[in-house]
Amino acid sequence: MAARERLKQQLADALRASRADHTEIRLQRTWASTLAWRGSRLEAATTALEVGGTVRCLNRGKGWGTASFTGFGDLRAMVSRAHELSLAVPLDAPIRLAEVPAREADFLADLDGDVRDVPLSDKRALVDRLAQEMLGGDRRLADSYCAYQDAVIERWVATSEGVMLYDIRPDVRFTAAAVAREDNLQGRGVESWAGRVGWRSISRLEQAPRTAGRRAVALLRAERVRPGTYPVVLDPRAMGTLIHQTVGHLSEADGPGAAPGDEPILAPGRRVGPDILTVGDDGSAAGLPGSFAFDDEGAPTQNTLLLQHGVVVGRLHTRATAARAGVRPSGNARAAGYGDSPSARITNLYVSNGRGTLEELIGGIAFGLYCCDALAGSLQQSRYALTTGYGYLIRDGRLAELVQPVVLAGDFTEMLRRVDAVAGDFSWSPLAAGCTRSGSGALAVADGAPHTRFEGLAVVGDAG
Amino acid sequence: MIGILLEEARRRTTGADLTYKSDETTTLELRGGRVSSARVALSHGVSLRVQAGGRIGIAGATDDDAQGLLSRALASAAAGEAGQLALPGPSVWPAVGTHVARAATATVSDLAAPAQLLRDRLGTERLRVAASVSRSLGSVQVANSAGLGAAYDVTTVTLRLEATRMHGDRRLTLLARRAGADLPPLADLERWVAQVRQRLAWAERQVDVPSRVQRVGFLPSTMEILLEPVQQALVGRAALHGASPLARRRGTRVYSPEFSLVDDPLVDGRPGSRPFDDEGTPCRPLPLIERGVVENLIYDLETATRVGTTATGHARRTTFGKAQAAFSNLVLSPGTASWAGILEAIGDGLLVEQLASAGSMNLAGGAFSRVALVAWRVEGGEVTGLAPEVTIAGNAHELLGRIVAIGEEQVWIGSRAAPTVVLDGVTVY
Repeated sequence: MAARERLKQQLADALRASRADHTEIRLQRTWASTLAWRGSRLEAATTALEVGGTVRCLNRGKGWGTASFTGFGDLRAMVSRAHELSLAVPLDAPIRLAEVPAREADFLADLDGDVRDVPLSDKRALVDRLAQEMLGGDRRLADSYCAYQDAVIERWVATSEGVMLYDIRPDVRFTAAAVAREDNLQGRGVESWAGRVGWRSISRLEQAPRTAGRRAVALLRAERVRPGTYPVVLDPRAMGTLIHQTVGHLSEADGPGAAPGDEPILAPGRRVGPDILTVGDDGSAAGLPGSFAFDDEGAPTQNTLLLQHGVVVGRLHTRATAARAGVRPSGNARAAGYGDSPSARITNLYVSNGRGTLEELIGGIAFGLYCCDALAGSLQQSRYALTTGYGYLIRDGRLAELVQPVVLAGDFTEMLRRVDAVAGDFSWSPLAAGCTRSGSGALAVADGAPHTRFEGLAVVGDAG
Repeated sequence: MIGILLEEARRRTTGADLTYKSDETTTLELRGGRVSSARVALSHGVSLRVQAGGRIGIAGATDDDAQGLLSRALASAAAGEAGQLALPGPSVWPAVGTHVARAATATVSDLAAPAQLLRDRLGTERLRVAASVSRSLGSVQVANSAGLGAAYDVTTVTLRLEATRMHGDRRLTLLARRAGADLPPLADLERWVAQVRQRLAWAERQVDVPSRVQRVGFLPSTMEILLEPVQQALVGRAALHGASPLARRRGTRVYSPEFSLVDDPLVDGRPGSRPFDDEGTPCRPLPLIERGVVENLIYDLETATRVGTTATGHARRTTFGKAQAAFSNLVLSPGTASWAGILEAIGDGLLVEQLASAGSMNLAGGAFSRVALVAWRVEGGEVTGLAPEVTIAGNAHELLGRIVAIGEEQVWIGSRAAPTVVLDGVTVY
């Protein structure tokens, strides 16, 4: 019997032995290798095998009891501990769970050249060459960093309601960062990429180091942008990150601003943006970092509209939040690691296409800012902040000189109201960094958007 | 597994060391003083480093397959970085308290009690109080082929509190975090209750703040914005890569003479307390900045070897990563200013309580720009009300050269102890 079938048998046995009203078990086995370069020196070449899982139990009138563990040891004992913890949590308001269809299925993604079969020395040779290429092009490149990580991830989700699901998927992520220095000036370039690919598609990484190196040199003598309010056009990466951090996280039904008793900022039916703004989340999209057939509670993933023509129409749900809202689970219950409990989280977040081109968007701007890429983004209470990667001034409707990265910040509802054009050039940005929320680990996600114009956004500082 | 692994590694390599960590953490979430969820997390993992063929290999695992782990570490060495480490031998470890039996045996009720006490104390204040409390029972074991084999046990109890009240349209959220080897002492809880009551009274009045360069008092809860750039510059790896503005200034005065910073792993019962680091190097208090003068940087074995110095006992290893130097307990020395003295030193300015986590921060250069989510206007040496959400900007390296006053009371937040610091020349807009 294959190892994965043996584990299914253990899962079924543990579920049968559970005395809880509801029991859910999730197991994960991750094989990974990591290589990191600083300058021309290899800093690390490591391999890891991470194995573990989580049991959650729920009883009538009680809260969640959760037990997480490393290894696949004694599942029955873990079920018993989770059940006892649930009994120790009396609740006045019962937790209800929306239904998930019972099903048994395996989802076996194409490993695309299994990275587990590729010797570490071959991976070293590839990344070594890329690291050298990044530094070798220009004497002004003073420092660089390259990080490559590949993984094969297996997951089992089983519940006492008849869900028994398994998937296996590949994952490759790569980050290249370069620093150029000359005459007390400094420029930084960062490129990252993540994909559901294996060794056969590894050539997709080739451009990232060279691009990062070129950008670092170009930014050396780029001017800084003075703080103030500008007409701004965001490229798909910057727009994707901005909407992820604001609309995305505020749509998570157990996320920020969603404390019990609070009216959500993005309340259903509320108009928060113009007609041209439509936003959704699609965990069922093919081949993206946040794509899965089922979420960490066993619910099928789907395409969920969040804003339609500027009006709030949907939220991202777990089984518990869906039951509270009286809707079906949206397939967004995600756990950052095998030891974490699932919460409502983004999968692949997108802004829908509008019409026109980048040229048409900047054509009407006498003096403004074109911001590209995103190094960081956040939302705290109602204030957003976005650190871009680089940008250009817009003068008389044309792109002009390169400028240092900036920090855009302000009230997010005001920001949404200021969207005044959305282009028709949508693209996905599968970034290597992933998505974190409130200190939890990073989840694989993609953000997608077309170029988008704002009538005015505040630049509060530079990040050069 | 550890003994077999090390024995096998001795036969097949020129050197090996490992860290084995296990932990059981119980976490309770509380809403309004009642437990709303309970979880337990059991984890263990081993990080193995080998030296073979003049190269270093690293592998980690959470399963019990010793042979598989060694094979992967050897494969890592075959493709790994060149290097040879002088592994430390057995030593006499310094005494430090890392484990408290009372915390280790605390029941779920014991753990929930502090949060319930706070709910009772603050119940009349129209506050929404949320809390989480976690108790970690851990052990750390370090062994190597030079004969070292040592272990210690750890308890860590962490209490996080959040009190929220609406003041008109403004949501005022007050946060507190306390972590230590023992259950939180009653005095700490009473201090927080008094602090919340004082803040609520201050918040009854909302006042404007002029946009200008002014004196600002940074409470201990905001010290990260000032200390992160200093910490970053004191890590040996930053010096190795030419990214530390302090490395070449050792022995010279860089900051105000009131500013002294020590890394102290031997303080009893704090989250960073430990007798030896994750490579087996004995720990000791290390002055980092002494009266404004740069004294020492921190090093793990590998970085120390590369720059030709000795490891300082600061290596941290996770199951899957390589060892990195990290601070243990950072202690910013207290000054002499009383609370009234702090407010007097600010004069007309701002007292900052909570900064947004987002904003602009150049860790290497020290420049920052952050929104103050909670700040208090000070006029004529007295707090006059709650300030609007203003932006605080400056350069940490420069500002620490313009210290006006340092408070006499030191507060522990996590693994950092700091007093209130008043600085001149902070931009507020």
